[in-house]
Amino acid sequence: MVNMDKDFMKSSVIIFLIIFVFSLVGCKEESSLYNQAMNFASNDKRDFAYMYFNKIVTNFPESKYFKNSLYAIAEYYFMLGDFSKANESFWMFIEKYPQDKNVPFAYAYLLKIAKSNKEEKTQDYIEKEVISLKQFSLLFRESKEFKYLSPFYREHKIVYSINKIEFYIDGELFEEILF
Amino acid sequence: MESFLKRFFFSPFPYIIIIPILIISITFSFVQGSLEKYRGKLEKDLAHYLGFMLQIRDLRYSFPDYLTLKDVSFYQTDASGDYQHILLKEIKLKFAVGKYITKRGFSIKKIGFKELDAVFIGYPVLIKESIQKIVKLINSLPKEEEITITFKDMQISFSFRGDLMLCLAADTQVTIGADNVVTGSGSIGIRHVTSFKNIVNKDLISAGELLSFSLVTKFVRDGMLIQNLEFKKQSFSAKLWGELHGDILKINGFSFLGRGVKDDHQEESEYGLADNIKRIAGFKMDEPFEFITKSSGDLNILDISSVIKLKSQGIDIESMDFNINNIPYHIEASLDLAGDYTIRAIASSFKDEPEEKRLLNPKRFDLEILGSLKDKKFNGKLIADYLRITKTKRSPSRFILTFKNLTVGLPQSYGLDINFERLDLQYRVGLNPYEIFLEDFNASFIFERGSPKVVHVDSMIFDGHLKGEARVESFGPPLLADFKFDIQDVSSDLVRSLSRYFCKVYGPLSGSLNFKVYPKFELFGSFVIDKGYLDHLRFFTWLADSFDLPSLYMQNFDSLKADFLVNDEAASLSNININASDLTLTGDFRLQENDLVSSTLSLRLSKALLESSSKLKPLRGIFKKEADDVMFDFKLSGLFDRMNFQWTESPFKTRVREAFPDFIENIIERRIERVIEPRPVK
Repeated sequence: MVNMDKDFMKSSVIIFLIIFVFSLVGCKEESSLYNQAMNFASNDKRDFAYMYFNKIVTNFPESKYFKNSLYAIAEYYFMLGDFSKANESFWMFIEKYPQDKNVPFAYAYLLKIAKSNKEEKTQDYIEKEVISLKQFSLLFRESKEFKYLSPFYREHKIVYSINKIEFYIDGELFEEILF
Repeated sequence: MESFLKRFFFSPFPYIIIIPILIISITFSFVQGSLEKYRGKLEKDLAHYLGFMLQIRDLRYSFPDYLTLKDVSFYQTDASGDYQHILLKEIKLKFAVGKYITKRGFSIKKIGFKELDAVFIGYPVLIKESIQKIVKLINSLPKEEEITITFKDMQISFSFRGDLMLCLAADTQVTIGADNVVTGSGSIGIRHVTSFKNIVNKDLISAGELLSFSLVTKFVRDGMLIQNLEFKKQSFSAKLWGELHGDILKINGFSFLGRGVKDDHQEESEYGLADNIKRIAGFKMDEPFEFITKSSGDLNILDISSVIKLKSQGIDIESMDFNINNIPYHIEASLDLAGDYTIRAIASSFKDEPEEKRLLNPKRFDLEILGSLKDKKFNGKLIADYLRITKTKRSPSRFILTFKNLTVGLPQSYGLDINFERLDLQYRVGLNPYEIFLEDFNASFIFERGSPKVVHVDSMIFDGHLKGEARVESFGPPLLADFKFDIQDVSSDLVRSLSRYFCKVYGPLSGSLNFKVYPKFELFGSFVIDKGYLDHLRFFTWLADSFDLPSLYMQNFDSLKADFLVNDEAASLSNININASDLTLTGDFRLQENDLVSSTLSLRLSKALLESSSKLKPLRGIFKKEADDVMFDFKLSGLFDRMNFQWTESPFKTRVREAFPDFIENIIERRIERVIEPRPVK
């Protein structure tokens, strides 16, 4: 009876160790994929970067890198002109991460796509969603700016004024919502 | 002389004259004499047969085969005071005189009715017994020859225990064949709507275009087969068929209304009926919301299928289904005319669609009417459910109108009065409920050339008073009218059920209100509230919280004034002026249909008020330098529930900015942001 318990303990520990090692390998793989993707992105090799971001999205849906990778592939599709896939990926991103800092910009991309597709109702919906995302006050300034880099190292800037929201990419006006 | 007489009597000439005279005289004497004898019996038999009392003033025979009945009246009364009275100036019958003389049989070939005036007070003729009487009468007629019945200058008047009387004019010819097939054709139309009491001599609604009709029906033992019933007017046509067995009437058919049946040369109306219905309802034309869709301006009612049960005192529409321009409609109704009149009717579109799909269908609606008429007073309810679609929203909507003691009457002067003790209107769009109630409502319609031109309204609204008038160009469709009302002393907190602007405002509200529904819905006017207070108005609460100004939670004011405009695009307040001892607020505020706000406001705060704030202590030095009270100009934007705020440039703001280093400005700004922004972006 005691031997049986010992055997059971032994096999449990071995199974745990195997799972732990494999999970470390998995983690390491995700991390490596993401680092490689970011490296390619920083060197402006977007196609290669996309391949690695896409591997993470396809194979590691629970990964901590999934969020940025999903945004990255959506952005890549947009840059490539594949609005249909970009549309799908951005909506998925907003649905999974509604509180993320990239959400306003994801909407900006979607707004651009909706305008291109002449989908007025979608435009109206997106504009209202963006307006409702942030409430702000302007006491001493005329506007408020928020900047960050996208996974493809594109500078995203949002400028909130009392009657408009502007989206800039690398210093150029990308989209504008007037209200 | 003798030779003259001889020649006279022995020549054939006198006999040619005398014999016919003799025949005519004998026939006339015989027929007229026997008719005089039978007049009483005829009255009695017909009264028994038709269920009416009968009086014939004069009965005359005209050679060779005509019988003329003068001033014939049928009448019936009951205990409730209802009565039916049919007066015929002349009935001319063509009959087989030979058969009458030889066999004493009375066989009618033709019947002509001239100047028929029928008055039905109370219970209408469309009842089971009346129809059954007609079926019985037709079935019992002699079958040897066909009978032609002509109605000329017929006038039928209806009044349903009210003061108004509807007069129909008709000319009809009906032929009853030997095989019990009845064919008929003629025309019918409204002659006028007038006062039953005859106080008013002028017509309320004058004659319109007549509706022509044709009918082919075969009478069978317990009913009839309606083989063809057609109606036609310049812009309307209908073809119906069906059957009546016992008390169940089944009608099928189709109908066209609109350009499809107009003459080519006729000027087309600018809008289709569907558009006009929408306009009357106050819907924007560019919105996709439609009860009835437009199809080349025509209104096509197809696939009519109905089952109607005729009751002794009432009618049940067990089901009525039809399609209007490809939208399926379903109606069920019950009208009970025994004792108090009661009605219950439901109408709906897309009834057979699965519920989940139907709820999202912009063309679906449900309508229910319940009510009863007692002592000329209508009490009832109208409930409508539909999906209101605007540019940005799809909102399930419902309105309920509840009437208490609604009456329609005719005043001594020329016009029409509508009164009710109370009307409750509950209206819900999405999650937003609106409520309004009117009491002691009186509306007087003043008519010109047969149509109402001015409507004077006097009513209680909430706890205040509403008085005004509507100038009507056309009741439409579309309804072309301008409404102007004055409102006095309504508690503003009661108005919050109509506008969320008033949800924190208290005081007696007076003002003017104008609205029109065509070419687009617009409600505008101005209001003033004197000696009121603001209880935790959101903006003032925010100021009080942010700057430690507790007196702003509950702020008394001397007057609050504004102009307002509500249309399909936005609800706006302009020239806002809140005047209180410690503050003044002026500016404009616009809330768009998509809930976005755009506002420019100026706030004057007294130095005493500002100096009472512990949080504004650092600014006291600046306040002291201000010659008078301090002005803050600002803008608001964004969603109504999450408004953005900007303090716009002013000399005072410049002085404040100069007084603080940048990092202090940033600290203040961050603090303000924390107060107003409950949902930070991660």
